[in-house]
Amino acid sequence: MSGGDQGREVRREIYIDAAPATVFALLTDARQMTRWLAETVEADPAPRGVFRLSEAGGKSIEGSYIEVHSHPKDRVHLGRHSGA
Amino acid sequence: MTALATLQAIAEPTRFKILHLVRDREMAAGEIAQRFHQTRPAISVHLRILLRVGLLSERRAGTKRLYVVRPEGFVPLHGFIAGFWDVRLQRLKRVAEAVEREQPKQRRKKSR
Repeated sequence: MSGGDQGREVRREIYIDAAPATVFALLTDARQMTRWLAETVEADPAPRGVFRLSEAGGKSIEGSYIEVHSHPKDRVHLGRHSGA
Repeated sequence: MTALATLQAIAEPTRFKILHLVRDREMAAGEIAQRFHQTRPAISVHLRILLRVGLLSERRAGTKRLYVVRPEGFVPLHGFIAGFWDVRLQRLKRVAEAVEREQPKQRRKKSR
């Protein structure tokens, strides 16, 4: 699972009318992540910590947290390892 | 202009190539026609279709008409693609804003 996706970066921006802490929790708390990201979520929100997402249909994605800053920037940088 | 009309205008091999030809420089209709094994009237029809959906702009210079890509014409298509691409992000936005509304106002003070 290495090498294939190198150099392919996707960057998206969105404006969310909510406190940074609210969005931060939705990006780092596995239980909260199930509210918008996938049916089941495992998340270890620390640099190099792994997250696994899966849907009932068998679709799954695994990646890792690259950067996690809770304060003052409430910033999360996710990388994807693989998807099926 | 709708994304569908824009897509239909683009999704034809000659028009697809014309868009590339005049992407960053103006060309006269005759000059464009020379690049294809098609008659001037046939190319004119393609140019009119691209003009109609706003993907090209036309300018007169003497007896010539010059054509160039009109970037704004791609906006409907961009919106269409983003609607699929950003599904998850839009969901995050919706949920986060709903959570925010449920929370007592006090917490919002700490948002910056």
